[in-house]
Amino acid sequence: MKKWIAGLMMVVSLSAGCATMGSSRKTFEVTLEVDFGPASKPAVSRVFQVQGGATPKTVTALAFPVEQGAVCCDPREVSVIDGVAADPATNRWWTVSINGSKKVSPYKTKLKPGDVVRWEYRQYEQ
Amino acid sequence: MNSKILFYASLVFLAAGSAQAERPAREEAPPRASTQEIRGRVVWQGPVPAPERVEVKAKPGQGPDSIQGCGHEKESPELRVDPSGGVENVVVWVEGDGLVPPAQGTVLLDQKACEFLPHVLAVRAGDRIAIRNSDQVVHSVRVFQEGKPSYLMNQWQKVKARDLYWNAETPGRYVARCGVHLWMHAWIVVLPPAFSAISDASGEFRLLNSLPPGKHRLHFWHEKAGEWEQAIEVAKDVTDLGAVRFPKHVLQSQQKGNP
Repeated sequence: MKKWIAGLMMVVSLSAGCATMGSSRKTFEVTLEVDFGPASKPAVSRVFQVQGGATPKTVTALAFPVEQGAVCCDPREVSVIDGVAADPATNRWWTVSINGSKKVSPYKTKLKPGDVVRWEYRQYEQ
Repeated sequence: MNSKILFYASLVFLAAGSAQAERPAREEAPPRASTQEIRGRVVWQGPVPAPERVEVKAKPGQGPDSIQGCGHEKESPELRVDPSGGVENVVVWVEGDGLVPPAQGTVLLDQKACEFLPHVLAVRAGDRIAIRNSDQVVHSVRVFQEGKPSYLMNQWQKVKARDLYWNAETPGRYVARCGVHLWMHAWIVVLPPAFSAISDASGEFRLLNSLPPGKHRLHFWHEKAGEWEQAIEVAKDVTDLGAVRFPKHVLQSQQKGNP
């Protein structure tokens, strides 16, 4: 009886694993918007097909050269997009939102179908 | 008895020897007394710009508690010109081989009413910066090298927390910022061995030095202007440069209203 239960659990866990892998392979559309603000470059809005597991950072890297660095808190953050770097001297920073929410991580938050990723290069008063 | 005396004598001798062996690594040529003075006044040319104002507001996601005691509006420290045209916070220095000005050791950078004070520090490579929180709010101190987006230091500093320390090891310019109060910033100018001064609120500077009389190059730096130089002839006691003109390109960008 115990062997039978253990076997059943193994089958369930394997099929769950396959399901997870299957969903991460699925592709879906997300929109990437980049506003270069004071960097005086034209704003960009493009739709990309991404795989499950994509993040704001990975979708941005499909459109532009992206560099990472510890701008605020973690070395995996985005510090440069298309040659435009965060600049602590002039108080210019990149901020990211998904569907208007800024409570996101550029390298951790997993995108969902239809998400709009928006980067803004902003200069704050100082 | 004799052998005991010999034993202790050799110990004392050895200890003295090792102390001497350590000394040269730490020793520097004794600084000459800084009895000479180079003085001058950095002046704005043309109509004096009005000070820019900075609105004090909480960072998105932070409550009003985060700006308690910060005031409502501040005068931007980026470009301060007094009514008679004196430009504040210009770093002035002379460097050269063999210059050994007195070390400053530890230099204080305070945070008061959500401003870094002083706004500009000029230190010597090897000095240490003590960063203090004199406010009733939490700060998040970050130090960046100019032109580089990744921080060199990033530490929270609670109310009444102990001072934080940052070692100014390499010459260059560094920006200290607060991650909670986005307007807060200070400049730390780390110089090689050099005599330095910073212009005061009226634009005046007094650079005490022990330079040999003769020709030298005086360096200037301001956060809006960048760096410029001026050839000077150092006299024995006092060298009065009179008015030092602030670079023109900054005047033009101010007139256009550019950041």
